[in-house]
Amino acid sequence: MDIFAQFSANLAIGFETAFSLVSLGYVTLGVLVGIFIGVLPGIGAVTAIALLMPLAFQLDATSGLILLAGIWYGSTFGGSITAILLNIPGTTSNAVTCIDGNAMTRQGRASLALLTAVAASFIGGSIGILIIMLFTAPIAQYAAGFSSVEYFSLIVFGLVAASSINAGSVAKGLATVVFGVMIGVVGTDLYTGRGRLTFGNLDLMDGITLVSVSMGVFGVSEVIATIKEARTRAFDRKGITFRAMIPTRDEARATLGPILRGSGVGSFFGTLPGTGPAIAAFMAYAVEGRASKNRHALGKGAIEGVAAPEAANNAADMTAFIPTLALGIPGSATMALMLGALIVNGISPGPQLMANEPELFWGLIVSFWIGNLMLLVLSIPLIGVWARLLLVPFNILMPAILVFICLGAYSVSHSATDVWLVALLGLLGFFARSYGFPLAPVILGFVLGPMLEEHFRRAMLISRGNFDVFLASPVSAVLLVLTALILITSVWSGLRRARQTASEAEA
Amino acid sequence: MTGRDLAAGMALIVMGGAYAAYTVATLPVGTLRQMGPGMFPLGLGVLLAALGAGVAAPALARDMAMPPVPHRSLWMSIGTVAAFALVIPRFGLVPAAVVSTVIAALAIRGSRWQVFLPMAVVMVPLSWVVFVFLLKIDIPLAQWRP
Repeated sequence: MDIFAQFSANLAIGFETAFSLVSLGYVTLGVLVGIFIGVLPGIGAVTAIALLMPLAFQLDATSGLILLAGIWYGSTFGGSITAILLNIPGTTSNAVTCIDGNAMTRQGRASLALLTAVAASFIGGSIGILIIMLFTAPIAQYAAGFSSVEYFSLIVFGLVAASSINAGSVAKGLATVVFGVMIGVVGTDLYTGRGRLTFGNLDLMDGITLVSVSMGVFGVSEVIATIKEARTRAFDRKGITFRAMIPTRDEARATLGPILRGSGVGSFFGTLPGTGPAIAAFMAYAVEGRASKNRHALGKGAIEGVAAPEAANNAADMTAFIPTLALGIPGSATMALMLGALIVNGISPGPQLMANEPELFWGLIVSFWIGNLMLLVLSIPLIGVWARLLLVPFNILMPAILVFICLGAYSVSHSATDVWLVALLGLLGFFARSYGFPLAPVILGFVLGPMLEEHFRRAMLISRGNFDVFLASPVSAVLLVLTALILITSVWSGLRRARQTASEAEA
Repeated sequence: MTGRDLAAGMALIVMGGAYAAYTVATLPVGTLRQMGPGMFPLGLGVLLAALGAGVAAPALARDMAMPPVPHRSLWMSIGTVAAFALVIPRFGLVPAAVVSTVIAALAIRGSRWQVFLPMAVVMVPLSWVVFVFLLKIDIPLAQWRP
């Protein structure tokens, strides 16, 4: 009973925060920008969030986070529109939705596919939110006893998992993480006050800003790559009517199982570092291939093939916040940006966040739900408008985005150095991208790097330079063993893949 | 012996080596017991170089095509940002927005004056509205400090 009273008191705080006019405004803005970005192919959620970081920096932590989170889950939904109508995933999370979603469009059932995506996103998101509410507090409580030793191992685990799972090459994934940590280290050393790697530049004493890194590495490099690919698209607007959306009773019933299974799969993979919504959607589709009664129709325009992955990616979008909010350890680039928005506002992330900032935590959670509700409201009546967005010659937008990147980077601290860094990191980011390096780990390494060093140095002080401490603590030992296992399996599967392609080339 | 991964690995080795060397030259490293500010960065540089070797080594056995460089969009985009960085501290918001919009428009193949002149006209007021009016960021509209 006590727990229940506590829970409803917390929810009341959340509703109070989230239902303020300001918060509602930022949820709406975030979700709208998110859908817009999701619909525009080529620009991902990370770039959109990077673009709006300077705006979030001007706001208080709660509003900033509400805004950025809205972009995050809004873009996942927006991406499903292009996936279904054009067979182009608007974001990577929607890649699987293309298969059955676009097949449905070709059968003239585009509206039904879109409605299914909306409904599945809403239910998946809601289930994900419920899981955040249930699990964040116990995890934070457990982690409250962690010392620097456990934190060091936890961060190492997170960084290695996020960069080597699903990376084409483990060495490349890890190299981008290390590069991120390297630029994160630039600035004043906390222990001695000395400037490190600043090349005598006074602006660099405060370190490189997160805005410069995310705008350079993601924004500029993405613009360059998109300009290269820019082309106009056409699609058949027939079949997108309000009436065609209404599913028959059989169709509605057929989606329920896939949505629930997808939400479960998505919630699980969302919490893990390195997996995230894209893999969650893929796994949910794979689960349908085994569990669905209608599995023989998958791939040929089955409604289940839209419902399950769209429920999964939205659930994963939500549960990705669990490690970020409970431990202060983000598992993806997007979450690292969210964490950065917290740190800039002077809030120290970690297990004490929920207790110290209940308005922030519960306000954010309730705003997620309002945002998901808003996706439902904004998408169904406006689906024609969103679909028409696809006809915008978006290559005209690219120069505009570049100018906004410059202004945004400059606005953070009126420093031309920040803009020069955007140019430099944009150049590096573009080459890294075209040479097959994943970019997301740079942001993760950049945000987590300073924490990694601090915990390492503290652990070394306590242990007098003895590495055994990392194995003496059971939690830390288990995490390091898991890290080693991930590395070994990723290297091994990479080698096997290389051998396979080599033998195919010979054959 | 050419190839994408070989070049990428070499670049990482050079970057990691330079980072480590610069660290050692400018910062005390200390010991594990008494870590100096240079210890962690030194480790990072060495690690990056080692990973570079890990990227380059398997590439020795196979040939991979170098990815094409889209020179126009690449250099015009970087040029946009660089021009902005040069102009804004000296001449203010309006000249910076005009110059960078024009260069950015050049990144798109086949773009003509008919496209990017109107765009510059739109971008300047828009950037003023968003950054100066809405976000209240104190940037002078125009000044002369070459």
